[in-house]
Amino acid sequence: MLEKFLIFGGLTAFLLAATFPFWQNAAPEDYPKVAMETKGEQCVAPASYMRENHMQLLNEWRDSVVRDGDRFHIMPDGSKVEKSLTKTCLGCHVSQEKFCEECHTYASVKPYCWECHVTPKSGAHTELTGIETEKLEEDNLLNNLLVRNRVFVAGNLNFAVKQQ
Amino acid sequence: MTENRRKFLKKSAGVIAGAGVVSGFISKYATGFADAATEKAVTKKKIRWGMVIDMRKCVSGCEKCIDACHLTHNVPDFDNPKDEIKWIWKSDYHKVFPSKSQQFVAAETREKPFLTLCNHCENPPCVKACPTGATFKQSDGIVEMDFHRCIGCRFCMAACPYGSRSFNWRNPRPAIKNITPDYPTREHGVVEKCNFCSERLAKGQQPSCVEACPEKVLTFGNLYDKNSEIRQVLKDNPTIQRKPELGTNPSVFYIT
Ligand code: SF4
Ligand code: SF4
Repeated sequence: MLEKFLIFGGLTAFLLAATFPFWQNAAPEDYPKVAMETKGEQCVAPASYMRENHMQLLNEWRDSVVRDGDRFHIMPDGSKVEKSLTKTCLGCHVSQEKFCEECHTYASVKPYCWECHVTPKSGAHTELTGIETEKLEEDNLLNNLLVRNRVFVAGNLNFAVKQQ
Repeated sequence: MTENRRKFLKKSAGVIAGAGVVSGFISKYATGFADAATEKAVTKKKIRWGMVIDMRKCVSGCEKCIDACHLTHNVPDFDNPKDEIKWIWKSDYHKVFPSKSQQFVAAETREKPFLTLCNHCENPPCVKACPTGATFKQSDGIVEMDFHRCIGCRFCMAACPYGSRSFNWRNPRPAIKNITPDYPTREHGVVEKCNFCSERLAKGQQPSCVEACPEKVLTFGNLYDKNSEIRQVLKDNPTIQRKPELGTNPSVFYIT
């Protein structure tokens, strides 16, 4: 009898200990507190898209700027902004530490953008330096969206069509 | 045997006909794309950026162009010739023009510090040497670097006959006095050089050095545009290029 108790008791204890990380994470309380305050009205793409795919969009921006000299991004409302991490992203999102780092630390990813790209000092930006509001010709809009923003158009075809 | 062969022939005829129809469709679409591509290429202006340096006007002690460039592009200053990073700099005449093609050059020319930078060669050996494609030639003639791709192998430095490239032996960030946020810095282990201010050209501005020079030593423009200022200067003055015998066809010309 005692043996049975020992064996099952031991097994239960072992199972609990082995699955402890899952229990612990079942109801995490310490989600990163990402600073969402911005200086602008709209993001370069819908927030849901950005949450999941900002790294792809940034890679796309990098390649198109450096390789093709294609330096402007078409905003959802048709205006143009510079494809720039420092100027556009952080010209609007107020703090690199609270906006990027917070989440990256939590997810344990270490992108090396800021080894070279310059972090604007928190709160130092008083205006949206990278943002231009030049309107594009209407008929070019869909075309530009399709060509320039291949990545996010693929994920948000409805979004692009709506724009037209 | 014969029947098999007949069947085979019939079948292959069918297959070939089918393939023909399909390829017809494909080529129709393909030409559609090709037409669009050619149209784009035709409407795209032909550009080859170039520079003329009029050394007669350059003042010996002046370094305004260098300061402007190095400020714009966050070029570090290590205060140590071994670690030096240069985009545009002054060097001795005999180092800039070592080919001895010119004898009996006037002393004032010979003894003057000569302005040098990347020549944005029409036929750039650095591009051929780079194993990662980090150094590449743009359609506007600028030899550009993708710092993201550079692995620091320094093949390009060995290939460049003009010493236009510098290697970051150390982290450059602490050696930059005033960081310009508009342009990135580099990392330890990456090569860098002049980019003819392609980020400024995109906004319709002249390169920093050209803008900064109070003596109008530098003329910048499109070498393919017959009516450009630079072509006029090239027409009106005898000019020389660095090491022309190598066939790199530099886009930087000197009036001495
Ligand atoms: S050092 Fe960088 S740019 Fe130069 S050849 Fe190697 S990878 Fe290319
Ligand atoms: S000067 Fe040197 S770095 Fe510049 S394009 Fe020519 S070979 Fe390349």
